[in-house]
Amino acid sequence: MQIFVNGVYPTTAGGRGGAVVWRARMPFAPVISERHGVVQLVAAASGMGLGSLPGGRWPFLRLMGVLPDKNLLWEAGGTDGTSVLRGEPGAWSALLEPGMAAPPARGAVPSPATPVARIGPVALAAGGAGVIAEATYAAAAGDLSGRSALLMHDGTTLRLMAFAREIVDGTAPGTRVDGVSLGAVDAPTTSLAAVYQTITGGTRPFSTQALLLASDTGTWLLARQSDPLPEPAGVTRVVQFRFPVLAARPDGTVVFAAEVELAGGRRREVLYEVTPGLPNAYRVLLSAGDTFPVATSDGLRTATITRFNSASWRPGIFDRLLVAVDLAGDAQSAVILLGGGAETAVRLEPILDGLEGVLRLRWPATVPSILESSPSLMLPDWRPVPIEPVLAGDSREVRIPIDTPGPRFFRLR
Amino acid sequence: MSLRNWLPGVLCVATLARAATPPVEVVLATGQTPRDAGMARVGELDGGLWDEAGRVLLSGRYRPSPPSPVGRNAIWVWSGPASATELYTDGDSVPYTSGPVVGPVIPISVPRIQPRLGGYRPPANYWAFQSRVATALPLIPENQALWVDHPVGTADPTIFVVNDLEDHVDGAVRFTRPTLSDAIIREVQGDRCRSS
Repeated sequence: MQIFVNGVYPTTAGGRGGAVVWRARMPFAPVISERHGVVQLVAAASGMGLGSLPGGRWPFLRLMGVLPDKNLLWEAGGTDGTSVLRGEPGAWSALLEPGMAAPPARGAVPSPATPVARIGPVALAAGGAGVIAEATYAAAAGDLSGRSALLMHDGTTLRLMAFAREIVDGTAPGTRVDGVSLGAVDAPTTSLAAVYQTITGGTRPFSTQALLLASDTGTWLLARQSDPLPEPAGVTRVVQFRFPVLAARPDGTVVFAAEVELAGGRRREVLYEVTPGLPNAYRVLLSAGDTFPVATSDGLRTATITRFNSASWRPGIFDRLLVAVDLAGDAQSAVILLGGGAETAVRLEPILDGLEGVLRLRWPATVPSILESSPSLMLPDWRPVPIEPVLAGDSREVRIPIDTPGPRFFRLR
Repeated sequence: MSLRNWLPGVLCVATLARAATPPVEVVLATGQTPRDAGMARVGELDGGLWDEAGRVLLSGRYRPSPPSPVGRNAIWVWSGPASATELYTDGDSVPYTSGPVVGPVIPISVPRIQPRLGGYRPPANYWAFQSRVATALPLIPENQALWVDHPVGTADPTIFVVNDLEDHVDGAVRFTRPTLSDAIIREVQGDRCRSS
């Protein structure tokens, strides 16, 4: 393995001020330091005689992560916003940068006629499989000029996941949306992301927080500040979202936390799960005031939830939700797991057979499930796949001809 | 229609019916005593994160115990029901050698562990922790450290990444210390150690 470390030198450090990245040289010694020559300075925002960044010096530089193809992913900040670079130090190529061609519409390929003027902020998709960025179309983009968008790059493909104009459909009729800003994001795949955004615009200017589900196939409004929610009974409006709490699954369900106001003005923290649809389906997972037993050396005590601080699905399986909560009483807290027990997740194994033009889907033979398919996650229409699975060793397998255009989504029920 | 155009739309999802009310399992909570923690009880938890093997790393602090008015920071690991175990806490000793040449291992009293799991990035086969060396040591003055550990803990020893820059000002040597923020770990072909 290789270890890289991001850091910042104080501005007085021998001309080395600013952001730097070191790499540990192999083989590792238990203690490694630049002073003793085992850590190598490989990149610096201020140059420092290292390989120059595209466009010259940048005020900010950090290594973001590693792409599936093992390429390094860098974030470099400049006066025009952020650029995302790929590759080894000194041999960078731009993945996202101001002025780049961007798709003019969902599903379209990037076009020089619709460039973006500004990139940022940026975030990594789950597992480091790609990068998600807020972008603003340049003046040269004509009708799209000044519109903000959400772009995702998986190292190969640049996708338009959402942009301000589309959100009109999910807000009040006649509302004009001018801009969206990326608040928090959780992306379980490189083609699906749950996003907290601030939406601004309108003939009567407004600014509100919204939770959206963005994908290859559409943008869907899951919840919005000041709107009522059907669960639990008596919720008159969302007061505010708890931004750090956001967990999305590949099937499009999203867990989020919000402070809601009940009839009579009382407020309560609630942890929701929402499934997109017409209408969206909300389920209360937990809410403030819920209790659970905690075993201590003094015996069982009852813990009472007051607030939700974070939530994350078990990576790759999405069967159990890890939740950090505050509890009633001074400085009391807990980390708990939801799910498990009656719930079991089974992973579908896709194999693309290009020669025969079929997609083979496999799952454990011990799971007598029904395979269903839908053309969309935004407006799900799950129907059984009319192909009988066959036993292949300890697996069941279905061979699905690739004979229809557009995306298809599969699940076991 | 080509496969290339079709493939990005393929998304495989598998779920079985979920229970109506999700059961709650406590990973760790205030007042509990993790394994290997003696009599110490957890005071506060900042949060937790998964690794690829389904373990959960937790960070937080123990309750203060007299005479110290401050609780020790700690990192715990959980791998199943009632399995929370102390991994590191303030004051633990870790191996240390000086310089690039492997020398004698000197146990040093390290660090106040950062209360959050700073520095963690995929792949999750390795854990990265951030700490501050608070003790003046031979060749390593007060400094920050970012160290990496492998969950298996056998093939890869604990590794420190320490950085300081020798700066000469008016004939005197001083050290300018950068702020270390996080570690990015890249697995390369031939890595011996996998956690799952």
